[in-house]
Amino acid sequence: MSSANLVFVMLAAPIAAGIAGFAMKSPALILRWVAVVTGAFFLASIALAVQVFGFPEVLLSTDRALRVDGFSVFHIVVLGLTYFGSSLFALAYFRHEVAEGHFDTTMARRYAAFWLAGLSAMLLVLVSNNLGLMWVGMETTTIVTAYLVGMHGGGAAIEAMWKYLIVCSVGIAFAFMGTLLCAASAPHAAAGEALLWTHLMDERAHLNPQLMKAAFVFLAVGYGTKAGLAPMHTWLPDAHSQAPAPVSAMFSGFMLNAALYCVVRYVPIVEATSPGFGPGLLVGLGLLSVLVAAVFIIFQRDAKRMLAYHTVEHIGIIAIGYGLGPAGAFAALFHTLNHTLAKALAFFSVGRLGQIYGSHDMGRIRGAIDAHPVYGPALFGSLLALVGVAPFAIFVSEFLLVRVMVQQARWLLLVTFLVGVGVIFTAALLHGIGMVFGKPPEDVAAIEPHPGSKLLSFAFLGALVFLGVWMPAPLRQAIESAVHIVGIQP
Amino acid sequence: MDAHLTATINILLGTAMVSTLALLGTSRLRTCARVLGLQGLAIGLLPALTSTEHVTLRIGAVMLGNIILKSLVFPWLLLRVCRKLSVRRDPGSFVGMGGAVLLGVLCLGAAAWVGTTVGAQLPTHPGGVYIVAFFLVLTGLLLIIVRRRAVMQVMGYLTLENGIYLFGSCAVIDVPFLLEFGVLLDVFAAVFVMGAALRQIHAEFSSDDATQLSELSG
Repeated sequence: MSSANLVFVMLAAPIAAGIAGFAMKSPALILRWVAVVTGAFFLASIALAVQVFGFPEVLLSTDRALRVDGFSVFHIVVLGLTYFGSSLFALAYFRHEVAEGHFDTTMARRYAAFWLAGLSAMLLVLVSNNLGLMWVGMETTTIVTAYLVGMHGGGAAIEAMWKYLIVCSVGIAFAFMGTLLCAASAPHAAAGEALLWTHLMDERAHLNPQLMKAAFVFLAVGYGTKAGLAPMHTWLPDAHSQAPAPVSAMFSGFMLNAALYCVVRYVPIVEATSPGFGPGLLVGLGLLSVLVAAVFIIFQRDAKRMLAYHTVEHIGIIAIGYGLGPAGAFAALFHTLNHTLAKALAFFSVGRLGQIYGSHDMGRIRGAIDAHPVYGPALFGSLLALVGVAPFAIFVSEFLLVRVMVQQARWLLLVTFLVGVGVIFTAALLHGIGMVFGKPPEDVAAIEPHPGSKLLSFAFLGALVFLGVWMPAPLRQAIESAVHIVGIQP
Repeated sequence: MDAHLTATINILLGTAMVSTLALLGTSRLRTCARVLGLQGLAIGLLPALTSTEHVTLRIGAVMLGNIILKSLVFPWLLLRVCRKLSVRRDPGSFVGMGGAVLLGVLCLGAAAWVGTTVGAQLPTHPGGVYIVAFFLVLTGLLLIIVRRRAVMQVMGYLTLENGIYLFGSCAVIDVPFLLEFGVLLDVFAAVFVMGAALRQIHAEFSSDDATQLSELSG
């Protein structure tokens, strides 16, 4: 199958599968169906990566509205991985909800439809060469995932859903303003070309610098809101803490990366007209995100909110990386993959432990290792990975980033960054030790873990250790191919 | 440009501005929904008049779609939500109605500065189109912040979106039809989902008072 046909199938099949879910009569069947569809999507994303590997770009439509390159394909594989992993975890997570009477067939059908529609929308973001179409994809992710945030019901969940809907819709509206300003900065574009990324890249030296600067500010604020960059991150802790754990894992593991992907697409364009402006803004917002996360993680009592602030931190780290040239972009892309693996596992663990303890309150979650022999250790392992302990791969990507800062003599940035991650290291570790060790509350009975949960946890944790000690050549080449597209010289 | 055309454009821009100030200063939600419809009509008609090209089938179709959605469908949806939820007034939150209008005037000053600065780099249009566009964007944001009712926040979002639409239709001449259609569809879907969310808020809290949504913080 050609790359174009493969992508069209990958765009359409999840939506069709979501609709097919309405014909199924039990939550278990629907959840299995979702896992099969996302598994097939993951395999298709790898097949696409293999097909595109070695080519600078592959056009998918004659009007050039759709195309893939190394940068988009890298993200498509991470998208497939996140969705497949989260869908597998959802089998166990929602089984418990069904038993408790919180998840019925109607909810399962809606979950499948919105979950899979979100997958298609995110893929549309990644394969769009037309920046307006990319915006449509990102706005659609907000609309279709809003239900997923509030599906548990109750005041807090509905509050989180409303804040997510309003804050992200306004943010994405600002991004549209930026997209229009970007198109307006190319006044001599031929019919239908003003919004094509490839056209803007070709003509970037001739774009209006003032308009392009204004455009990038709107884009960074707009898409940055959806990405969870501080100070626009306010929706993120609420949505992550109230959404079901598989949804939180998907949000942190990929959706925020997709929003950051949109911002980064514009960096090489703005760099041609206003050198240093785009990377400077990314580094500024990224550093602010690390510092804001550091302050809020200290005082957290809810485990999922703590992980949400960890996401703000890591999105900030990735943004800093993109602002530091090709070597920084390499670290950022590697960090994207590592963060996805670690954060998804952390949300799986906290989600399942939350069901066992009946709460995400870190004051109540004690002795998790005894309460759940898989997700207790997995929580501790993922937290160690998230704070950057060796030999987990996040240590390597953060080390690469620090090395770039040293090489570029960005001393103030380096010191502030290290203070931020140092505070987070200490605070998160203290929270983690408190939850994992000790004696579980008497009303919490230890459970026998499902073999599937063992396999899933060991796969994610194993991948983090594996990538921490050895980076396979194909992965290195894939990241280098992506860096070639967006990594601008500082 | 023809004097009558310029006068018509100015009347429509004036309508958009006055309707926006009216949204800030009106507490009756049903009136606000109707005023928003009027604003949608003015904003929907403007691209046809400001376009430097002839009104093609494409421009006509997008314009018609916008007018139908923004001056008829959205106000009807909002009125329906107000009726179903039995909400009539929004007293405003921390600044009150007078304070909101005063902040609106400040927004006008800021919009004049941004609109003039950015507009100097863009295709020329009469009557300060860009100033009005930025005024709508800023005021939409203001409505979301200073109003108490969640339904009013939806109206703020629509005002903001009207500003962006006006800006885009004047600043970017060549936007593919399918894309414009996609954007319109997305806005419709967003408003539809917000309407559904409003019902859930009302069912849970027996009100759509956004200040009650304060359980989650920190």
